[in-house]
Amino acid sequence: MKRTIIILSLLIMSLSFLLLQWGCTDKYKPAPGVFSASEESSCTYCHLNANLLKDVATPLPPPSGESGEG
Amino acid sequence: MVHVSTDFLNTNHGKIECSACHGGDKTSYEKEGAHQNIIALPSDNEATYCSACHEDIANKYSVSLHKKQQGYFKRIENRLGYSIENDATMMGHFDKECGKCHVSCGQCHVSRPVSAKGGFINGHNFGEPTRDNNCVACHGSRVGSEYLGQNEDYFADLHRYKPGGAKCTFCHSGDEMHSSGTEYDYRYLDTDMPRCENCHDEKKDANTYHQMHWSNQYLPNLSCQVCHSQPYKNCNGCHTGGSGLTGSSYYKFKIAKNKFDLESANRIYDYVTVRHIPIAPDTYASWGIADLPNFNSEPTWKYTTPHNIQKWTAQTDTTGSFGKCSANCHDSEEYYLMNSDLLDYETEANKKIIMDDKMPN
Repeated sequence: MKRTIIILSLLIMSLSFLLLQWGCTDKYKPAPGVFSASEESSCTYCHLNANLLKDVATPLPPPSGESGEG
Repeated sequence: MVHVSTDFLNTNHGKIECSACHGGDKTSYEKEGAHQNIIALPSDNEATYCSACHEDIANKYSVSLHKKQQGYFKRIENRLGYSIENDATMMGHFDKECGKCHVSCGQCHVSRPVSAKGGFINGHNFGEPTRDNNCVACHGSRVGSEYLGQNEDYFADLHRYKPGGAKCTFCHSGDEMHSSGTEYDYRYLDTDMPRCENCHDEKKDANTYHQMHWSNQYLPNLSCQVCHSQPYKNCNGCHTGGSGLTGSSYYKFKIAKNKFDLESANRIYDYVTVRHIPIAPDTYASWGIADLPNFNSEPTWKYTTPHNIQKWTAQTDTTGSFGKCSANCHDSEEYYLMNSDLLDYETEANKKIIMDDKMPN
């Protein structure tokens, strides 16, 4: 009987620990898009990656005639 | 493109955390989130982001023409009769159309100017401005094309082929670009601008023409460009929402009286080259300004220093005229700004500078 109580207690404690662990984990998971930076800094992850930037760059509008100063 | 090179991370600027200058949310994994409240051009506010390390230059730059565009404001104020600087509506139009020519530290030292659509020059590394990506990106349609010989039928400026002459910094110093702390409302008043005389003063008496037109106190003085420039581009259309002049540019070489109040900068020539600027009484009609009450307060042909210098030009070439320049300059109206060159509404504004009563003989 004592043994069953110990096993049940351990089981309850383990379950509680698992539940607490699950509750405290950051639920945010980076979306699997092109900008997913995973563990790295978000700035350098993208801005050091020339191919990625080329893929996502917005094309420039065509030049519009003469302008500028002097 | 905004691609940062790995080299940059080892430079002094690269060791500063991105968000310290650019803001944004460094904890976000998504473009939109990371770019929230981003400061794309931190050096627009050089007092906050640059002066901690570059205090002297940042302080001087804060009054420079490149930053403040005071030349634009002053010309508008003169013709309009009041300053638009405290008028939010007018400033909105100004920022949209003229303000694109404002540049910050970063637009010369890191990226191309915004008016040339930006993009890092060398992976976010800071460096000396480059001719094609920086200077000519803004000053390309006139002086850039002239200097590089891109105007059909005309030669490049001979300085381009001198050792070091491929760079604009051959003549134009950092003090001029950053300003040396004095605020001007007209670029030709800036005494840090390069002058031909700075390098060529010993040529003052080199030949009869120089003796007569440069160093003779009893005869009219000519600016160097009067003899040594080729025809240059004159503007005939402005980009203020489609109002005002909308014509195409054209090549002309024109000499006029120097009535541009440049004595304080020691530009004491009697005659100078002038370039047409595309201003008309209704230029700002799309801003809600139907007419410029003081339109005649400033000439529409302005003092200019074309960047297409040659030793031998149509003016200095005396072959076929018995060694005299009379055939080129003294017997023809072609090179002079005359009343007949003006549009109807320009007559009064240019009456002080036209040459109708001053044709040389």
